[in-house]
Amino acid sequence: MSLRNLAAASTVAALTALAIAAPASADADECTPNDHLEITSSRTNFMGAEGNYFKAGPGGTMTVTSKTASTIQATATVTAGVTVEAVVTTAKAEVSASISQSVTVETGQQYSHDVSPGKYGNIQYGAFGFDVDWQKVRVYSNCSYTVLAVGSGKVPTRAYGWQYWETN
Amino acid sequence: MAANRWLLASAALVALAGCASGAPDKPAVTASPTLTASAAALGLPERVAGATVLKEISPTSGDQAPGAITAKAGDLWVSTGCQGDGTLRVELSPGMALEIPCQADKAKYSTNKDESFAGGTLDVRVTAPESVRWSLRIEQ
Repeated sequence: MSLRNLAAASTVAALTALAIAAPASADADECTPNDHLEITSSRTNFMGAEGNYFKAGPGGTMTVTSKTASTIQATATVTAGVTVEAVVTTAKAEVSASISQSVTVETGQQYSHDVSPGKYGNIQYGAFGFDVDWQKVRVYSNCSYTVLAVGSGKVPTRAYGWQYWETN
Repeated sequence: MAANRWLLASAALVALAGCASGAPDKPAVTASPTLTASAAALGLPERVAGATVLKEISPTSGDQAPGAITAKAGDLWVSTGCQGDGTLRVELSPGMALEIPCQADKAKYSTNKDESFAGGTLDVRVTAPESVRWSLRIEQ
């Protein structure tokens, strides 16, 4: 077992021990037992398209064109039977309907921006998306539940274009 | 690493999206899509959550100079949609311009973000041939 897998297994084992008691008011057989995936947090990010990052300066004007077509894929830690596809499906339902398994970034879009004096301009073409954290949960008939596994992922949306920022 | 530059600190800043509901990626027709038929489906990427719309132009065609916007320093978002043969050019003067090659058989959308907008007034000007239907939203 690799160190990474060993660590993941340890995490799962530790989490499995954390069965959480149901609320006192819950009926004994109120819940349908199931295992399910849920997104516990999400943060916006930008997933740059390979070959489409440009930097220029200091000062002046930079004009760039997306010339390298690429596909931006969702990624996620996979463990306990959780797949990238499952993370994407869950994030699409819980975070944003525009989340996609992959986004093909097309070529030909041009972007021009003045760069502030003394600064460097940075332009990246890519897809806006989310960093997500997920957890797989087992729910018992008495409504107690156990976290079977936790992980994270990066999922793109269909919103793609340029991002510009300046650095010293 | 530059990638870290893109990780935004505020989880509440935006809920990004692709195309708004009712604005599918492809024309909402199944046979012989035409500009007229598909134009009705042209929309815009979803709004940036928590942002204020500074300018929004519903699907139209041809050149337009919708006037000036005033924005404060910070993130500035420019979203476009277009369909038809030709290039859509959006200028925010001074300082910024983008050009998008549009297609007759497919609506194209873009979302663009300026993280270093210094604040001030921008004159908005759109150039497109009559053959191109386009829409625009500027948010902050």
